[in-house]
Amino acid sequence: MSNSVIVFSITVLGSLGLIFGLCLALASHFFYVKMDKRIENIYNALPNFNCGACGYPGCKKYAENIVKNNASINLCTPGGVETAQKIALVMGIEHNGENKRQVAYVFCCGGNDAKILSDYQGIKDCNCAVLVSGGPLQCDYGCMRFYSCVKVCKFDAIRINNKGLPEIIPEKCTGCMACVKQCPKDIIKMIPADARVFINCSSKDRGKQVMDACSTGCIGCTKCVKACPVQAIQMDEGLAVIDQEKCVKCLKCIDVCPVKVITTTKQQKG
Amino acid sequence: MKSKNIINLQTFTGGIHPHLDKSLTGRKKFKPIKLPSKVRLPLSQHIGAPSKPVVKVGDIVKEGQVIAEASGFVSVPLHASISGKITAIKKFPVCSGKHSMCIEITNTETKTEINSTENTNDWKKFTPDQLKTMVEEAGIVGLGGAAFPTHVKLSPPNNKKIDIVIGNGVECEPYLDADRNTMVSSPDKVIGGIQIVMKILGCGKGAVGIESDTPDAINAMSQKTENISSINIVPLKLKYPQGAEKQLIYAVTKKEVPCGGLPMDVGVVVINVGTAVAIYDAVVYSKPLYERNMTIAGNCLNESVNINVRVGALLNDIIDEIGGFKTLPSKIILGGPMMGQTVYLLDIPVTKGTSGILCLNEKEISIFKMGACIRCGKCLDICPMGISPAQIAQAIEFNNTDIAQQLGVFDCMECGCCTYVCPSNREIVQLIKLAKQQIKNKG
Repeated sequence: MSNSVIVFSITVLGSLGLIFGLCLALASHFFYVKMDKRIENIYNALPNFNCGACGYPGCKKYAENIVKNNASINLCTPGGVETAQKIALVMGIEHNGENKRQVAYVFCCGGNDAKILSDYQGIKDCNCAVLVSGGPLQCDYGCMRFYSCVKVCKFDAIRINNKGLPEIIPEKCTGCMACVKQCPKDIIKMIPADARVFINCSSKDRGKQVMDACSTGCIGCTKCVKACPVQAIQMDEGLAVIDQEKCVKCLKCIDVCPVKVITTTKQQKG
Repeated sequence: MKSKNIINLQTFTGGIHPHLDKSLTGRKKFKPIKLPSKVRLPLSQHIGAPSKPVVKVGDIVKEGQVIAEASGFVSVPLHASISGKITAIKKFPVCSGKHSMCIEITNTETKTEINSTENTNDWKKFTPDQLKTMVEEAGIVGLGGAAFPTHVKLSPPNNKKIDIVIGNGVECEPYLDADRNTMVSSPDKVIGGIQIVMKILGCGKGAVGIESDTPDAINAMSQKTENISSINIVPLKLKYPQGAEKQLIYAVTKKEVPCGGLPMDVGVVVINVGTAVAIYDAVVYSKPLYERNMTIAGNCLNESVNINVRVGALLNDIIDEIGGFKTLPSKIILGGPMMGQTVYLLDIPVTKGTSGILCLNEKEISIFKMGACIRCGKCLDICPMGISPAQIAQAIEFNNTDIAQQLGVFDCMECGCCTYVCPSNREIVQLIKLAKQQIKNKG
């Protein structure tokens, strides 16, 4: 092989490379799409869970909507106050809204004690089971234990306790509300993360019906309402509900409850 | 009637041939039963707004008296089905499994009043508007199962001309046998009801579709229509779901109702034969709708019967009245086995839309484990609506409601054919029901 062939190929390939490179350089200059740097920065500040708690399909879209459509900056529940402050820094606005951390909680303690009316044989999913005569449980407000909430949780924050009920681990819960939206019985509700006293029942039925359907359930006796020193417990259609803002965690309601439906958790690091 | 070759009978595309098992009721006539001592009348028995009660607890009401009035156009009034005292107006469990507002009437009188049917009206002398008002005031809803207020069906917009009224005498669900009985025992009332509907709508043509497995009904109806040239009896090939509105229209007239459209879009109104009888009774005997014909069948019962039940009677009372259970049932269904609603309680009332009570034993029901789709395409072949049930079911299994909607999930009428033929025992209809609910919740 003579030297001229080598020289020829190097020249041809080299010059082709130069021409293409020049074309790309020109193209990148002329067809440059102007991107807002802030979108990138906000996107980096977001936790990148893509949970959808903000109401937008993923973190990228939320970032875009903050910049383009003035979406509120404190919508990211998993990120909490920290993320909101970071976004505020990027956007050059002040973050004043205090978003308190909220976690989901299952308001049912029936589990194995709840009376089952029938042997449901269909698809093992809560939303499917509820289509057949409102679910196999006698209690209209009880957890049917097909664990749709567990399947939908992206953060592995729901475990199944010894009663067979789903239980949300507050440390892991990001408050994305996916389980709240999934539950067909609406027994998963959002509470402040520092709440310590819970009335574990959602039944608005009369006392006798509740006792028929389940061994533990709020019978609406109003004893806890009378015992509460700060009037934090109110009756809502036959069901006692705690206003967590007012609750001083004196635990007097737990002592008076005849059906032991009120419980507390140990003080944890908030 | 000229005997037609059975192969040339009209029908629709798709569909299945389930094991009918109508022999349980033995094609028997209606069995007379005692009036119930207590009824619970749900305020929301029909599609549309619930009725508003006009009575108080403690009031004495007579049979046929209005106890709740319509609360809007798509709503019907409710009438007391027995004479007695109102003992409660509160929430009771109903067939959907939920608790719903009901009016409870307890019979306090020892002897029951005999319904006076002496005062008869000649329907021909009323104007169409008067007839329609009578239908509306009698609280008549579609007795086929959907319980859609009939007067709404009879009020098409001005730009839609109705060409033909079809009487639905097809009882394609297995076990159910009451409509055939209605046609055999009172064919003149069925024909009269259809003629009244034709007069209200101002159309000159009527037809009654009857499946070929009920020759007694075809004969009885044909004899009555010999002198009436406007009404045609159409024998149809035996197939499920021929009793569905759109399939019946295609089988009788070869007209196809467009996607998401109503029968009135192609100039057709379909009236169940039971509804036709109710219309006739309302106009001629001024009797509101407070009783209906239904089949109570199943191998768990001592006797399977066709009976005439007061609306609001409790399942418990009815089953005790006809002889009780032989063995404990495995499954109780309100309606037919293909489309009916499984119930868990017997302490619930029958409504205007309940076409039957089935008490099935272990052998009659089948419990399967749902497998994966093997893409055999059987459900595509038989789907009477021409959609792809397997694909929709898969889409919803992966929570993809958008694809389900694109594939036409709302065209599905939940007839259950796909679940019936699926070799992999997939619960396709339940998944489709779930898809519909999730799309509605999304808004």
